[in-house]
Amino acid sequence: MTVVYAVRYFIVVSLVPRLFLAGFIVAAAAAAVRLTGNPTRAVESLTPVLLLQLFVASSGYRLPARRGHYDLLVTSGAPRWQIAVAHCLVSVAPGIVSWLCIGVLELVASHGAQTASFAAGTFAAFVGSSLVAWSAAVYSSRTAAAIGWLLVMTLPVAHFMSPLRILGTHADHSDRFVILFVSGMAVLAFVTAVTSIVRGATPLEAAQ
Amino acid sequence: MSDVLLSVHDLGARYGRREVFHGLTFQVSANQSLGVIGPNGSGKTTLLRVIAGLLWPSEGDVRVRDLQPRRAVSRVNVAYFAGDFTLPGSVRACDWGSLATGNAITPERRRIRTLSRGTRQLLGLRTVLSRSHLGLVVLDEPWEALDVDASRWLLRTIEAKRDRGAAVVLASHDPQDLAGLCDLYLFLVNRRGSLFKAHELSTAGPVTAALLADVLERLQIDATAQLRTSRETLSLPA
Repeated sequence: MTVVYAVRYFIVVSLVPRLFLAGFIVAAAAAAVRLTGNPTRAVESLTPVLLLQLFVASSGYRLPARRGHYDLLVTSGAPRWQIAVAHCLVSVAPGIVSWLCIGVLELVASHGAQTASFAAGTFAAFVGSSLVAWSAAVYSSRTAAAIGWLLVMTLPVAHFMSPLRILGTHADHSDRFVILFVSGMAVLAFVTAVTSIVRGATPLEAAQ
Repeated sequence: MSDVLLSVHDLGARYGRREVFHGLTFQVSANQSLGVIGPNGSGKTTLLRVIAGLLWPSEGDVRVRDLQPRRAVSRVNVAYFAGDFTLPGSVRACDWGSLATGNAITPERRRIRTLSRGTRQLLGLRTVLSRSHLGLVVLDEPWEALDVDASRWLLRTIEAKRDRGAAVVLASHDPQDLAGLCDLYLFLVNRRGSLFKAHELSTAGPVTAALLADVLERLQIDATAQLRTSRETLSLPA
């Protein structure tokens, strides 16, 4: 059993609901219309995708695992770290794909002149936020994570450390600290989450 | 020669401060089946999840082919199923059925939550038991909600897997389910386990449901009893 099997498993169990997928499609379509008219508006187009990604990537691992939904996978022989990575990949993929599509649209619309979608800040914002969101939700449900994100967004510190702020910025920009902070948080959160899945127990809700 | 596949020594489990059971010791060889019998909440599901590597024991040791269960699942093909409620309701039955081996086991396209309880149970069982070359079969209350035909299929399949070399662990609260099927019976009562070999329980023939129920009742009444391993200690009728 490999990570490919684990990815297929999580696709089958519909880790990302169709409603969210539709949301990404709508956001990407709106971005296409906007960028066709004005290729410099990539950051505006990426903002809703990034916000949606915060909620979608917070798919939650432990709750379905405790309901036994992943028993078949966990007892299949696939290493736990591969299961964790596959869960993360499937959770973050829709947002990452949408971001890449908008990036390609920006490049095409501007004939290669605009690259805000692939700037270091955008990269850190998307990859970092996706990993932090996934990791933070490993021990919670999607609903709890969504409420958490909404609360976090109201904190004063969120204005300074928000990934939305670094969309389109380059590494030599004054926001370099935020880029490093988001990247560091992402790596730390991801390693912690994967470790907790690898080492953690999976009691069945009904058996406690 | 005894080919011990599952070895459990002085096993204990707890959820926080609540002890589920302690001091369980038994071995199950290839071609053998163990029936775990106990009332609701006695720790049958917990024991099976420890064996499947989904839970850590609080004390003692579990080995599957001399490996910790979590490592063993990559070497020994394991079929584990805890019941129809563990299936994700939003998945189509045909998609779920193909997850174990990649081969379709049912053409049913309805979502799992729309199926009857018995159909869900059968789908879950058929999926895990479709894995080939099974070394360890761990099924929790597998007969729940099954009709007569499905029960017969399950019985035949379990016996076939066991005869092909698998060690089988079955849990049920109903002695009727396990009567005459197992080589070993583990009664989980009052946080302790009492292990009996089938031929010790019934020297005259197959172990009957009435006999299992009788043993269970005696163990429940005798709450202070120590681990018992022979029928004489329970004063069972001949």
